[in-house]
Amino acid sequence: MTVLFFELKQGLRSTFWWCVGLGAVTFLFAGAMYPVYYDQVNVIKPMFEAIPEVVLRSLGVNLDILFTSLGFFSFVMMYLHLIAGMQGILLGLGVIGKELRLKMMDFILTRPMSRSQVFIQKALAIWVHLTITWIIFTLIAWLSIAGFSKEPIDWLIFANLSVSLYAIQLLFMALGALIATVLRKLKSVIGVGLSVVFALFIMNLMQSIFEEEWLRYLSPFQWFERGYLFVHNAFELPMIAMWLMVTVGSLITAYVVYVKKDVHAV
Amino acid sequence: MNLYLREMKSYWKAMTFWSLGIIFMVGAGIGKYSAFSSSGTMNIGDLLDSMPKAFFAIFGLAGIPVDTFGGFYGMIYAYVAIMGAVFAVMIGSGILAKEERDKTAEFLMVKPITRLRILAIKLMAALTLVLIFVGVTYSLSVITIAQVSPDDPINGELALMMLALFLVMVFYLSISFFLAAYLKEAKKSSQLALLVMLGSYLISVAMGIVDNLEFLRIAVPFQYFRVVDLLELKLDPFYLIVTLVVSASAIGLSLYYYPKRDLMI
Repeated sequence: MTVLFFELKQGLRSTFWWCVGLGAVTFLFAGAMYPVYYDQVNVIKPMFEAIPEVVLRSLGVNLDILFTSLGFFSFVMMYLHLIAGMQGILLGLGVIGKELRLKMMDFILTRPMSRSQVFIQKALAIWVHLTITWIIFTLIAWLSIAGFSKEPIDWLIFANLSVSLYAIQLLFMALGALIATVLRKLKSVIGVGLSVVFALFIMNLMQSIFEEEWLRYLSPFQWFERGYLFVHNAFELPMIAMWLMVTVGSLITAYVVYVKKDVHAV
Repeated sequence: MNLYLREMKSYWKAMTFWSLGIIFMVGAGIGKYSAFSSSGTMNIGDLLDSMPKAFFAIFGLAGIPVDTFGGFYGMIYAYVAIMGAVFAVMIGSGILAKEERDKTAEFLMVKPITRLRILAIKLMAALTLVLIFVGVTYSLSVITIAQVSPDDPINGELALMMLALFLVMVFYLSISFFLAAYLKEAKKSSQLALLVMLGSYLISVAMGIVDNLEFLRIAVPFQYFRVVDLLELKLDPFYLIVTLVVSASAIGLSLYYYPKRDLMI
């Protein structure tokens, strides 16, 4: 348990700041900005209500998404995903790759514990950090929406949205762990993390231009797309399968590589 | 000169990956134009004109007139600008700090060149990389646009957008370069650079949704040169000066602080 406790303690300060950052953005975006949005958007609401529902549906416009606080939250979620993904990948890269990167691998391996123990405890420590952040995020999001909303809220949709953030955290943590173990030398945690997360994020944004269905499978931020979530009140099954495959696959690969890897003592 | 070549060599792999990314974004993006314009989904431009700002943000259009080719390219440009900023932050916070991070600072410092010179050469290398990024984007855009051959040529607008891209990248580069030169801990400086990047992007998003945040514009380089203005061949002179002054002072301060600060070895 030494590694677990050590990593938990090491990451405490950064997790605190991630909670503050994610919490602040959640409050500002999901809560404080909503009244302004509401006033702006309500001016045109009658215009939309005049259009028959069949027409709207064929255009792919969902009134619930446009005119409710939860709809606004689901839009804001996109940017919260970005932050969550960043936290996940930085923790995965940072914690799993720490000894490899800082050339201290021999120190941790001379301890009376197997490599698999080291990996598992490190992964557990990251998981705890991510879970704490997620719980605090959910609380703040819940309070912000409940506080600023002007209509009753479908808490099941809220729960789904909140879970999607957790899923993104875990996915990117697994990706980070994979990159940290597979790359022969990883030097800049922030450089790699920033590039990977933003590249995938931009890919997600550009989906509105590409509109290729197959591309959605390669773009993790698309896996929890809000349109589907709103209409069906559930996640898309193929996308969940992708999520499971990539997350579990990356973690297992990272584990196997970590356990078998040749380590150069310096 | 040796140092310059070495830096270029150490970044060529990253540069190649990034160029592939640009090819994907710009090439595939512009290639989609014919499908985009013929599908008619964007002919609702007139309707959208009457909508509040928040609406555009939700549709991901950010108030750009997407019914022309210029507007369509502007959308792609906005995405490239974000990636450009990420690239600039990565280079700026890495190129100087990596010596201390990888424990190679001593090897560099015993070479017969002054710290000021090291700093200047590294800055040159970083600027070259930024220029390559802009150059790849520019040439690729020209090539793909020629393939699509839209009805309305956008040569002037394109040139101006590339200038804006360069300016935004230089802004982020010099800020993160300064952080790396000024702060002793490489880790802290790259964390701060990340915070600057993420924070300014999120403020930019918020400005797209809510109207009354104009006062924050000065803090957000993404909003300095707006696509809407660039498409009208306008480059806001005030923000041009802001970019130049901030970049110059960040670099100036780096040159002042780095030669006399302690190295963490």
